[in-house]
Amino acid sequence: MSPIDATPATVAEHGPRSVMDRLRGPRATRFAHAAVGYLFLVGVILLWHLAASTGIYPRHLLPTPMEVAQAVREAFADGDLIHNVMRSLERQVVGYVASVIVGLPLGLVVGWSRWTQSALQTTIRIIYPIPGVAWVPLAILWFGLGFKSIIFAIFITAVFPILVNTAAGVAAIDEQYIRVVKVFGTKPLRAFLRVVIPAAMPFILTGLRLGYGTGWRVIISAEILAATDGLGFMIDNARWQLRPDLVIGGMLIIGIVGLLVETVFFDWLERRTIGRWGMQRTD
Amino acid sequence: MSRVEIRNLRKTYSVPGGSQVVALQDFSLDIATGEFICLLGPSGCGKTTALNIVAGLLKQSGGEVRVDERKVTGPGPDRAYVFQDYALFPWLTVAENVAFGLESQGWQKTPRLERARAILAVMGLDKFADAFPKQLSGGMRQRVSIARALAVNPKVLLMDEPFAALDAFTRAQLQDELLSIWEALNKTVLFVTHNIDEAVQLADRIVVMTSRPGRMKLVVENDLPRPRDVTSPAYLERVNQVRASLGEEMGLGHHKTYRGLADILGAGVPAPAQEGASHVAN
Repeated sequence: MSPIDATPATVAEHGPRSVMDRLRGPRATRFAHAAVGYLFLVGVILLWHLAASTGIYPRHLLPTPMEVAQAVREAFADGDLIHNVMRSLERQVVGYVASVIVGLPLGLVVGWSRWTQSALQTTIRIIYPIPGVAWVPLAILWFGLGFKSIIFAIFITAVFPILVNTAAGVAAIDEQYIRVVKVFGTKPLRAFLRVVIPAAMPFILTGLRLGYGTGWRVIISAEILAATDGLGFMIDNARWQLRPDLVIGGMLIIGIVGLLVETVFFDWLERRTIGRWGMQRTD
Repeated sequence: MSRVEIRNLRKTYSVPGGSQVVALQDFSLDIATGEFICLLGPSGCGKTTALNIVAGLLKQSGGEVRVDERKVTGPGPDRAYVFQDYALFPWLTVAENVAFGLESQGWQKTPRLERARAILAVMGLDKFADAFPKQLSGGMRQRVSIARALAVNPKVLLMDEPFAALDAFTRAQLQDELLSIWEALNKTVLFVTHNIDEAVQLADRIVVMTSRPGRMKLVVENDLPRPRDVTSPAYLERVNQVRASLGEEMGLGHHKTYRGLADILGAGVPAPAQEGASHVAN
């Protein structure tokens, strides 16, 4: 028997396309889209420079981009910046890892059993909308100022997106996969590891990404309230020193460090898993 | 003797509002070892319901199924299933997918993958053993799905419209391949289809089914010699015979005129073709 139509299909080799592109037919090149993005950013920086240098807004409140760059360079040179970045990342990693360790398995269990879903749903719905930073006062009462309080705030913020998305992924598993498991009599533990978790992967990755992002946002707020170092502390401290250049510089560092991990790391993780399997979510 | 006995199978569903819908009733069939049976009928005739009960995926409301004298109470290793939509796992390679049934039975990694690769080699798919399903065309995916079902060496192969989503050319090739496999292994096959031609081409016996409620209408002995010549008069006659038996199901002989439709669209009589109309080619 000869192989039938033995050419790998070339679907899914193209990236996601916007509705506009698909309606219009031939799409603008990837390069042009990237260029537009950078041009816009340059435009924003230029506007900022104009606004600051012409003195429309008082100079001691709005420094120019160059002054901000200079402040960041100085903070980098005396080791302050690196120290604060490392402190923030350290807290982020510890709190985030804890939230994954708790949120992922719990999400799997919740998604699997309709009873746990019913049991937890109402409670989670009330707790979920509480912003992570709103936990900080309680955390300070319980753990005092410092590391533990911040870890607690990140943990509690990151754990819910991970749990809720993982549970949704398990609950939304395609019926046909369940039928394959039934037909072949796959044992529950193996079915869980080999079928349920990978099938829920698009949702799990969304949860991990969201958890990381919200965690990073909360850590900065928590450091403003409850720390003596870290990027949040650094920008708040710069405010006391009337150093808007360092405040803005610190904010940009927060954004860039967040971007690096959130997009670079999670994009890589997605390409390695659901991208390779052709399971990207379309949303 | 290894055979499938289906006795007075009945399946009813409760629908919202409390009433019962009969999906299948009075369904009895004796399938001999190595026999190729097609369940043929329009959608809603209960053919997939019957298949799923035999598979153990669905509980019957009445009657029983026995495979080799043993009563079916759920899925079992004596029966394997090929799904219409392939149901391959996108996160497993082709070889891992084929080995999934063996893995479920507790086979170790090396022997199960060896067996999967050997099956793929016979089917000319060994080049794709390490590819992911998304890299394969629909026809190839369904062949992988068939390989996965064969790997556990079941006595009975249950197939739910496995070729319905494929184009006519690919379908013809897969039908051919399925017959080659069937002749090589002498498996009992229960094959659901709504395609008359497919049923006449494949089956030893064609069970024609009728809807509302789903039940057997008649069983056509399909004794044409194999390989079947689809252009021969005997073949065409058989197709016509089956088609005629399905006549009422297909709504033949009840030609509707739909006169009102033209009035709604504002044209009592067909309008003359316009010069230069641009959508004609579509």
